[in-house]
Amino acid sequence: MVVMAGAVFFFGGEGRDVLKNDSIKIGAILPLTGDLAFLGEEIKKGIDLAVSEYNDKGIDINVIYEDDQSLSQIAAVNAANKLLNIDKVDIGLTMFVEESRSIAPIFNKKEIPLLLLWDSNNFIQGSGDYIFSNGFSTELAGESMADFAYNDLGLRTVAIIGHIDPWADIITRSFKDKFEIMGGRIVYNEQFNIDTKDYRTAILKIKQLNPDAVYFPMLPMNSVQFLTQARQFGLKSVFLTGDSFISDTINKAGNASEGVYFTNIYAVSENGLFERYKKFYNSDPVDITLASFGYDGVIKIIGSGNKSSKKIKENLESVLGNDRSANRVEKIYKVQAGIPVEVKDN
Amino acid sequence: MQYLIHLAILFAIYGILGISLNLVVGYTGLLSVTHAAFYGIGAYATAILLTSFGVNFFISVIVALIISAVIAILIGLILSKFDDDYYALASFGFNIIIFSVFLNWQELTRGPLGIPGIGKPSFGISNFQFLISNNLEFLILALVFLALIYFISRFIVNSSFGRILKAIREDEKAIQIFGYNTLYYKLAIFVISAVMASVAGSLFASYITFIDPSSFWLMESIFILAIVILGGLSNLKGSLLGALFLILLPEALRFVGMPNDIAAQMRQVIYGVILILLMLYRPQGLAGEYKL
Repeated sequence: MVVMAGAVFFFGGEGRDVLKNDSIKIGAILPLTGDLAFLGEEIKKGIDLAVSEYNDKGIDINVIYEDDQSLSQIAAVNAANKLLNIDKVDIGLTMFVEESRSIAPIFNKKEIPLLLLWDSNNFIQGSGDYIFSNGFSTELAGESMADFAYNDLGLRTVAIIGHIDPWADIITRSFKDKFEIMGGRIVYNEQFNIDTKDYRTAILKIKQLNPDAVYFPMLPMNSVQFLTQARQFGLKSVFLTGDSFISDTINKAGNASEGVYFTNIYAVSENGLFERYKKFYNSDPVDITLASFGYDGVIKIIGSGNKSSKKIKENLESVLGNDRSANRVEKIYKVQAGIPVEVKDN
Repeated sequence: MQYLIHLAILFAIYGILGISLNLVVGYTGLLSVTHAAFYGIGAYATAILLTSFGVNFFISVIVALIISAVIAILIGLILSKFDDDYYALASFGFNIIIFSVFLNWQELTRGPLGIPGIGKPSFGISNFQFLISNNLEFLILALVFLALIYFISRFIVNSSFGRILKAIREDEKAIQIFGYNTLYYKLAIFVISAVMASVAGSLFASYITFIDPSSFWLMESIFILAIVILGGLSNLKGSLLGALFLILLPEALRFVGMPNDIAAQMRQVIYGVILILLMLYRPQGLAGEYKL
């Protein structure tokens, strides 16, 4: 078996066979197995759709997918090394900042651009000249919700309950700093481990403090738990959260999600993308925004038909600017009758 | 070539982890599931010393080694009170505690944000500094550490000390009757093993240049244990074989042509099936001397 694997390893296999010399080679490192696979799979479909459309136009693009097993650092590093050294890709794609932390130095050293599709934060600016993001700014999401809470909703006291997680940490800090600068007061601030399911003690404390609002940037399943428990205990404050409040969470939380305000991602290429997706895959997208991340990423890369890493980098610099990040600002939505309704476009 | 060098570096790091855990699990018969904690202590000590204090890598390795030894003595003293399954469960508990420290002591470890920008090793004096900047040089350094740990471990297991460890594994009560204080031997080998794991952690931090707590979770301890069991208990070369196999197999599977839509999932299934078959037909491991 080892001999067989070795033979495949050295003499052939998918990685080399599918690539043609004149094509643009994209290496995509996505969570294709594990807890986040449902996100990675949908982004992959967006990438494949864009590639198919470009191939129809005569621009030859090949994408080599590698799995990071839902944010495993070692799996991502191995994938990056394989894509850069064996497949010799012209550019890398990945989903989150969290996935990029361990692979950004590798792409940077090789002088091959790496484009993040979903999010962006200060890490991008300090990570090297070859690291780009076409995603939404986590810091700006926190700040825009603070601004909306203070100025539009007139809230003055907020309790924060979040996770010990890089995304939650950044968005919480941005919200808190902005809210306090504007004159608001944080009356409670506690972070829980991701595997915490029981928030009742914290909810009782918050209820006693009676804040105007509760800001709860949590992962999807925990948002459901928290909201359900908060409603059960009769917490009457306004509820605010971030872009982890996806449609699946809203459905699972049911009535408990009613009235929740949240900053959220949106698709840029909405124009006809839903229909094209439906036609290509013969099914509805799970979430068109996720597919649009992959789709938009490929469009950003190809631009005017660039084929070399150098040209792709130059194109990304001109499109994304000096800080190499789109820094897209999320819109604010409110759940009304189980459906997210846009209430503010930032 | 660069890809193979990268895999060889990982092999060296996991080889160190496999050999060091084999001293405890294979030679002494103590089912420890806390190795990732010491691996993490080494990584964090080096990362913090390099990024916050600008300390030389080799000095950071020594400091990491001392910190690991002190913590291992404390943990080892408690673990020595347990046997068999209870030992495994207690060691499992310590892995959780140390992981929790990595995750929650944010002022020191930056918690879930991890520590980026960890420097590469350098050595020399004043104007004659040599920086290990490329992967080939790093591989040589990693192999030197691996060789050093292999020969130290071989010396230990072939010494009278090593023979007592094996006797503890076979029948602890019997060896106690002969007047040996087994607590001392169990503690000593646990500390030696932890110190070696911390060296692997230092190498890992400097090589990857970014660490966060997720790399040192319980699953990592189980992966290292799998290297030891698959390679063969009570056989140092077996640990090297186990590391080689478990590092290379998933990489080799990347090159097996499969449809894109199911490739990632199928690779994991094949990986699992191969491990099951191997344990079924070779329960003593690739080069092992005895079964658990």
